Amino acid sequence: MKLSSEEVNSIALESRLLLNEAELAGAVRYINNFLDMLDRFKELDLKDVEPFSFAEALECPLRDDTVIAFPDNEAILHESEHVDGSYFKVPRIMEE
Amino acid sequence: MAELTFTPVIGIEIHIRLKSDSKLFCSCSTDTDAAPNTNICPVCMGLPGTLPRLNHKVVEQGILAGLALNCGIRPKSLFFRKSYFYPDLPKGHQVSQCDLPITTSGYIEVHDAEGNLKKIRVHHLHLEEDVGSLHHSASDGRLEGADTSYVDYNRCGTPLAEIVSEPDVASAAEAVEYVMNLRRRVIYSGASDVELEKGMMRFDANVSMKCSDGRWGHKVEVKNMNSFKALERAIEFEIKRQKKLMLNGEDVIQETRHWNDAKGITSSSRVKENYRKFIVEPDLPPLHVTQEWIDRMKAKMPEMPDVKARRYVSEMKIPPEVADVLTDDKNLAAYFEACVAAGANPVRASHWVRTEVLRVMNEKQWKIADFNIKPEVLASLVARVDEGKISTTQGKEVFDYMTANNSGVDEAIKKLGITEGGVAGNALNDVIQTVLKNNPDVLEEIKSGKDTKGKKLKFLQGLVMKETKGQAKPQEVAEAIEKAVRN
Repeated sequence: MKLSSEEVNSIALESRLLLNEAELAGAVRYINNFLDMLDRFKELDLKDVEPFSFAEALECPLRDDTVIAFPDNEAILHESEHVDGSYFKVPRIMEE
Repeated sequence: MAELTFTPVIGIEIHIRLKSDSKLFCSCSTDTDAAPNTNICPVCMGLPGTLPRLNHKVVEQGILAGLALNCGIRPKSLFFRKSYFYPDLPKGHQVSQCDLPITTSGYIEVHDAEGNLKKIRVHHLHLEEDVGSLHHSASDGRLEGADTSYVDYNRCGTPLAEIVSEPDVASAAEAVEYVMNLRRRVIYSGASDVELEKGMMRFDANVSMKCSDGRWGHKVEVKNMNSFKALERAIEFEIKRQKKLMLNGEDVIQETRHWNDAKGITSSSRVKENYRKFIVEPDLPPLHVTQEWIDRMKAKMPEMPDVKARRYVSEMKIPPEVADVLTDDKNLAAYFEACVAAGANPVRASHWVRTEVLRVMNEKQWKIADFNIKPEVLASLVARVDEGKISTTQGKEVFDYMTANNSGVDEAIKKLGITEGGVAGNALNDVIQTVLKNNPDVLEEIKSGKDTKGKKLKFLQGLVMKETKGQAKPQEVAEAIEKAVRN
């Protein structure tokens, strides 16, 4: 599998990255090298191998369903410069 | 040339808010009615250095909801980050079990066009977090021309179950029955209250059409339906639209369309994201659910509403339509069963609950928990009517008196001047003697043989019935008057 420079550029835009020509060429090379490596895995017989997601056999820690209010939501609100009353403000977003 | 026929192929995605006090991954309250942005914290706002921690109760609610949909519970499930940029999502990704869900492979039964039961397969149910809510308005409050949107993150991180069906739905009617039955089952399981008016259930429908000439139209995702009626209308509209395009030989474009409830149409919609980038959520190790845990959850599952309704029909001989009404609400069904347990005839009790109890609840906007006649008291009233001690009409008067005055059966009967067992024998004769004494001219006319058509006798019978407040048997009154007149 290979990605074209258009596809890589579009992924970059999704990640809010603007790449110049040299950076784009570098990113295409880097991603395609990585995809080549994944292709090599396909040569292995992995029929009986469990899909891998975590290096360690950790248990997902669970917590009780207890409400503990965060004491300073105002501080979170003021992390943003765009606040109106108790709302965060963003540019207009409307389905036409 | 044979006429072309079209078969709709529909899959439904449902989001249901699961019942919990705190959010999915943090301890903020799930109260979305609170003042904007008061139930937020660094975890649900995705601030650096925070770690999500999964809510034990939500996992259990997910298992219960899955069991309600006849799903199997997977021993291992996993959370992913679904990345996209949108202001309702402060982290830039939604944490969702999309690829390795906690429950899979269930079904919900509905009736097809011929009235036969068919199974709509449920592909899976997975847990995920909800996003914040956006409010749009211009400075003067109008939507048109608004240049700012306002974001409230109170809902962000509240727990959802996403339920994805297989494309087994063939009509708008089947879609509505599917979501209604599913909702009822989830409420019974206790996983969610699924209050529609509070936006606790949202639907998307994937609609495509298969033509008898072998053509398949592309799939269209229809969004923004938040009531059963909207779901039904949106699917009906989309079926008509796609059929028309295919009849004209045009392509149905694969796209997302937005349902506009006011205009009754779907229109092409801007999509939130081009790519949905998934990675394993590195902060949440796989969730393991032991068989012992699953067994504990299974033991908590109550009898499901459709199973209960079938039992009412087969064991208690209750008409199917009445059984459906009684089982619609778990608490109403429990009330009815308590009446039966207290000795009421099941068929009679079912009619009293369906007509009188629901009427009063409706008039007073009560829930069954507010209803002030205890099941054993209603059972006693039903029994008295059943045994003929009071008439059905009197029973209804007693019922109304009890709901209005919080009284018991005996008190209501006394206050209403009703004589249990009716007015008969000596009591009836006393009433007749009084009536005759008060109407000597009528009595004279009958005795003189002038009442050839029996009109005067009927008149006296009417007076006696009135005096006894309708509590005497008409046949007995007629015979007793005749006897009294001849003496």
